[in-house]
Amino acid sequence: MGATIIIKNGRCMTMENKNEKDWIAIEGEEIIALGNKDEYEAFVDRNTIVLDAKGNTVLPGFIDSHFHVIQTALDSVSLDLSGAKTYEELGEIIRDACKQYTKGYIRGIHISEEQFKEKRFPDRAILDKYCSDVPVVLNSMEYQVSMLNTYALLYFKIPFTAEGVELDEKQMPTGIFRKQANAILRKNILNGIPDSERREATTKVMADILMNGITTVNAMEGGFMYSDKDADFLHEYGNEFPIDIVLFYQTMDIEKIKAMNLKRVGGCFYIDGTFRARTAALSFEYADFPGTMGSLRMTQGELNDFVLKCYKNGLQLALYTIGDRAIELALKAHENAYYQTGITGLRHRLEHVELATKEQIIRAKKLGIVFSMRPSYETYWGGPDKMYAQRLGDNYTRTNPFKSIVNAGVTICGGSDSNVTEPRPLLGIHSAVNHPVEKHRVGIYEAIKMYTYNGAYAVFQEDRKGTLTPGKLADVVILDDDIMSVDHSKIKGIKVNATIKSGEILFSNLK
Amino acid sequence: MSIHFLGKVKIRYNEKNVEEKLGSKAIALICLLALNRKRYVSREKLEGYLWPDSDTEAARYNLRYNLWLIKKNVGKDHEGREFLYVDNECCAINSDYLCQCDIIDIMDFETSPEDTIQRVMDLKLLFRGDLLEGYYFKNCDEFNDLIIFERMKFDQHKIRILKRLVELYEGEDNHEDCLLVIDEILEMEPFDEDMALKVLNTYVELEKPVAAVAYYNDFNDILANGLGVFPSEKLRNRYIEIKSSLDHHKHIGGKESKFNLTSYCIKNIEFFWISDVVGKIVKNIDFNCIDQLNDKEIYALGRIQGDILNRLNNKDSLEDVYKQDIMDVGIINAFIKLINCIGDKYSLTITILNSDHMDSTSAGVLEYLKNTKAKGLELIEK
Repeated sequence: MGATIIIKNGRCMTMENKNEKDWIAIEGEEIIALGNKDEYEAFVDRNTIVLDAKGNTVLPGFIDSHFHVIQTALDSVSLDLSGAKTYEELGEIIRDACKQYTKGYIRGIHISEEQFKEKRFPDRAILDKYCSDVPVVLNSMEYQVSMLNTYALLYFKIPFTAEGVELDEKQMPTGIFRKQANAILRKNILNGIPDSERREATTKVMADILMNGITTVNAMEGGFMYSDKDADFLHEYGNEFPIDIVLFYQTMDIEKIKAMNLKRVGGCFYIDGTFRARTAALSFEYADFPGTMGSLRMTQGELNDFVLKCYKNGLQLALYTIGDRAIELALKAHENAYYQTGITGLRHRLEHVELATKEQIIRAKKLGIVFSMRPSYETYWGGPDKMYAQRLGDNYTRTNPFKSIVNAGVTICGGSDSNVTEPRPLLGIHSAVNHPVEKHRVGIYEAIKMYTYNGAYAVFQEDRKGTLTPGKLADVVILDDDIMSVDHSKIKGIKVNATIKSGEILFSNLK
Repeated sequence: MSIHFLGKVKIRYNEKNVEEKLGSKAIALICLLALNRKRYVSREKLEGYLWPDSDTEAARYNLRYNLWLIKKNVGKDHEGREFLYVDNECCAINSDYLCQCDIIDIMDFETSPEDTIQRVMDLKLLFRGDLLEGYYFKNCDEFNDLIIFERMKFDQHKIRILKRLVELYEGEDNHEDCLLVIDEILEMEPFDEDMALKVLNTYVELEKPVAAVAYYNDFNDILANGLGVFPSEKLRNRYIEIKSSLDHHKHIGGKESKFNLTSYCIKNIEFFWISDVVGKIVKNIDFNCIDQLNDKEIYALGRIQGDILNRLNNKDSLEDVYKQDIMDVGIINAFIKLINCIGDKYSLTITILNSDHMDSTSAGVLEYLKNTKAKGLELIEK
């Protein structure tokens, strides 16, 4: 029997019992065989595509377990303004974009007050200097603040009566919106984006996702700071895209979830905030802001009610928790729901879960909770000289303790949190292996597992994905190096040479 | 003549639309004069708003031309009056001219006891969109600013008018229409908890507590999705009240006798939650259950909740007997026995508010009740 694709000369890590093979045969959308040496020749006929891995690693397609698909797509067609050091630099980037403007509005992202010497967000008077005849909408780093030029103030429906409209001394809006006003405005703007634009941007971003070896994403969409229209769009059109998109709808509306026939709910369903904004709920004070311990966005009772509803409706639930106090709230709610219902096996997840204590990890194991974590955060913010240490002081040594979690038997699935960070599973693997705190490091095999088998397990897809096994989907990546023998510090430099999704070669750099 | 500046601009004279003949600057000019309806506006000021980049002569000419264009398309009224007063220095709308203009009607509105629903409803219907919707006047920064400022004011006018209409409907006990208007307010201010509370109360007035509960859940979702927060305690407590009364009614006449209690917690006051529950049991549940406790047990509970001592005939004499003898563990055991006695006979639901503020002794007892799965007991932590 001829295979459609053979990958030969590979170090094929099946991710099953640490087995390795030399080749894989793919027929249609499935893997049909794996083996060693020249046995693959029996599967070759004149139509077979033979790919030579040249001794490099071959892995199951990566599963990114936490991904904001639509926001990543929209960001990819937005101006990244994080590099502008002055209002002038920012203005010139906007001015250039105006020249190429064709429709809609100009969107700029990733702005922080600190990047400018004035330590202030630019108001509409500044933006108007560079662009006054096209709507311009800029967003702060975490989308908590929006900045509009005058044209945009006239173009969009503005929630003038809501809290958070910044006014100048003449009681005129400055174009800067925070709090409720920002939330309403953002919803107005995002809801006004037509699906055609979502489709166009998402199609465009797929190339980048495939180039990074990702064949499945868990899409965290809708709800607070996002638009339900994003989730509705992916629910309806998600299967038009080349990768598999597993939707996590960020809502509390259980009836809607049931009506949509979804099996899961949540994602960035916020129990607390972020370390950067000092809103993640800690059991100790922030080192750089004594007296502040972050805050919980709901009470134990409220969360108990919601979690219980999820149990009773048989829904898998993903809760956003970062600080140890938020993790505690979530675990208590799960313990309560388990006590009330006795239901197990729903593989509930905690998202991010950056500061779990040893005792919390053990309780999570008892409850069968999966930790959906972002290892690359350690590369961006971990260690003694970055954001974690600034905010947490010596407690930076407690963040993302991968090793203890794995040793306790809790499943970790890895995700990028794109659009917040880059969608690069290999950077995530690198970060888990090279955690700045040595005792938290895991081995390469365990780190790969986070993005393959564990990712599949976390969405009940381990029967079809996550390992290189005959009968499973042919989701496969070929790397440009042997990940198991490369120096640990160089893992992040490894590239994906080819990505195969359901038996189709969708990205290839193979020579 | 009628003029609509809110939403798509419409200017009708003699049953004909004339806005297209006027063009955007003439429309802006009329709008400026309408916004300043009670005063003359200098030509210089008008030129500054609408032709800021032109030299003085050109600006004057442009203004003159647009005034002529208005006069050409908007003639005299039935009484022979001109629409505009124009002289060498200033311009103004003739307030005697027979004309209905949406923004003037809205700006002139002052709340008064004579307001009628019809009058306020007519004003509400004038809000068809934003002021000069779809207009942007290139290089007219001051005028664009004015539009933004006035849009903000008209949003405030709208809220004021809607709230007045709510009051009038409330005054007439017209709760159905009242709800429709509150909905409009919440469309503009989706996180307004006072309005959400009004919705709950209005549903109760309409004897639709189920709708109130469903609305609260939706509002809860809107807050969570929109702001990542949850309703205030005030709103939440009202919801719990409505829901509890609903649950109570549900079980009346059913086979099962069910009691619902709502209890509270106060941080750092030991035994507070237990005391609160005992107090409510004494007030709400028949005494047979309590009578299954012996005197010593009732006395023990009396140490944290005096109301229960009324069940003792000889409490004064028992005081001497038990005063030294009651330890914390005795109080706790008595409480657990009481809960179990009630569970034998009834289905008891205890809603616990502020559960994260529960004192440590009560928290331990709660844990015990959960772990032993006390019969007939349902605990709801809020």
